Amino acid sequence: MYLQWLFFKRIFAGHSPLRLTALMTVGNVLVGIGSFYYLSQIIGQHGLRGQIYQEFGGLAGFLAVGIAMNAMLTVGCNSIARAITDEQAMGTLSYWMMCRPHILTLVIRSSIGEFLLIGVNAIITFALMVLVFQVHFHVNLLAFAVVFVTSLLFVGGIGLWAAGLFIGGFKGQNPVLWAFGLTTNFMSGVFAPVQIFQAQPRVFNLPVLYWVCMADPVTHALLAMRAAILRNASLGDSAFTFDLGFMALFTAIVLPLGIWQFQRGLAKALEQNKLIES
Amino acid sequence: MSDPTPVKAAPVVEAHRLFKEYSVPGKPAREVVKGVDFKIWPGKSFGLMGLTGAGKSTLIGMMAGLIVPTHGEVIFEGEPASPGRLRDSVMLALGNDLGFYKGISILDNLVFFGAMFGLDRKEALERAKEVVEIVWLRPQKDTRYGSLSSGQKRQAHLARALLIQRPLLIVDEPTRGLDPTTEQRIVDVLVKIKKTKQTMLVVTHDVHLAATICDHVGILDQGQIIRHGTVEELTHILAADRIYIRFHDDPAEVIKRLELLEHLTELHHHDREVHVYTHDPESDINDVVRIIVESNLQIAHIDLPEATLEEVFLKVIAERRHEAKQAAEQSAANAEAARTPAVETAAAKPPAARA
Repeated sequence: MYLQWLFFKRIFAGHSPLRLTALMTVGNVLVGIGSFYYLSQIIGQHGLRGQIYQEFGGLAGFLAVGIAMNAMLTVGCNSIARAITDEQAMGTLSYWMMCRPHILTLVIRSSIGEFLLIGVNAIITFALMVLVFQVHFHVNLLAFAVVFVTSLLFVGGIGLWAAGLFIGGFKGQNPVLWAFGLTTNFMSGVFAPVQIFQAQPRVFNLPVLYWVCMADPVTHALLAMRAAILRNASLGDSAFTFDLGFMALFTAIVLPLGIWQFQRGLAKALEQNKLIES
Repeated sequence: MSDPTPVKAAPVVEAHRLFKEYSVPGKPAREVVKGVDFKIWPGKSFGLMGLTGAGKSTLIGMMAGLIVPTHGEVIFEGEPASPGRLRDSVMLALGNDLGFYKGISILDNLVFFGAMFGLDRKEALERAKEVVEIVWLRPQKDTRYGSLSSGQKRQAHLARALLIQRPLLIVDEPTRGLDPTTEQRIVDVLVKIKKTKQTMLVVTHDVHLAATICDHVGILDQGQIIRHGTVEELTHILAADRIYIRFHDDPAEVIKRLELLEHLTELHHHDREVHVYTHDPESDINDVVRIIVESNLQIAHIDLPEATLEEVFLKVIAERRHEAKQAAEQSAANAEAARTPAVETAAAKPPAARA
């Protein structure tokens, strides 16, 4: 626990003063929520465009959950990969290798701080939406917890995969993070439900794209999270269980693959002298 | 070279036929370390000296378990050690300005790494305070790492290496790029550490540091240890090649006779001072003295000064480079000869022989 505390302390000490950071975070959240709210008013709640958000309790709630979840997934992936690149750049990675806990554990521990920050950010966002904009959430805490943990494991796998590429000496934009970012932002339904590509409600009528989106596990992560937070879906809910199962299946593949890739990258780094900065 | 083996102790660590080559796609593999052997005994310091690009960093990487050798092995406390075992058994102080978190103080950095090395909260703090004292960084302990001078950063590296005791401490280029005063402070810290009987591998091209700290020195060039021995052995055997004589009177007559010495390589004189350079000064000194006595000259002073380690280092490297150049030229000449003989031999043969 003490080491974990030191990891948090290191994150805060390396950034702007704490009060300023907190102030800026609240400012960002307020502006973000205001944008969602007024966007929802402009699009309207009753037209075709507005109707597609109705089952999620309106656009504001839909976007809030989508953006918070998107941030969590993206930050999760990036923070694990960045733990490697940052430590490599600072020349501390070789010392991490010589410490008692395994480097894999240290990489995950160093990312926990950023996960917590993004979690706090999401909680502030939801609280302000409820208090200031009277957005209604119907949360099933158990379902939320299960989706949250499964999502963490999923992004953990992707993050380790990306980190494995970096530690093995990959330079430039990481293709794993690029592919993940692309699918998350465009195809997983952060800003609009993927059903817009279906024949009904005939917004775009691109059924192929709809099926591509449905093959993306992030789509199911968002669907499950929205169901848990906005629709009070329980673990017995069949749609919710399907989305959760889809995610769990991918997690069961991605997590071992990520660990394997990380170990492979580490072996390559030991082979090719990527750990010592002189 | 003498083997500095204490009677009972076994080496703490031993490099056994270590090779490392890096493969580059589309190019031949680059051999960086080519069959290096050495041993370090408990409480002793082994200095590894070499010019830039000699393979020092790769070698310490292999000794610290941060690079996997292509061939050979590192034997630790009598057993072949995996890179993981080495990482658990070695402390490392790299000679650069990186390796710490710039935004937090030295003390916080040390507490962080102390906890990473397995110390609990109280131990990490206490030990961090102790080590900043040892390396004379107490006044700067609350200064952010990024604000320290280069010398202080090296001291911080040594402080971290002292947080916990491991059988081997590897110190890489601790004085590189430092001014003489700061350099001396680092040397003093290392002397202090040496007094604790810590076994050390000190990688440097600073001959003053090597001469002060190391019991045994290996000179690394192009991936191979080309000479090794104690500092005394290296300075005595490799470079004790001169006899300095000062006379009361003009030595012109003596100089003429000295120039006929069998092993003479060079002879310099200025006023009444004569410097005789020879391949075998210990043998030639008798002849030198005899010549002087026969010439009835009075000696004011005579000396066989030992070379400095720096002279030895430069001489050994220069010899090695010269040999390599000669070998390359010979090889090129042989290749040239192998290409041309058919034509030349045929042309040189008399018509009868050709028939």
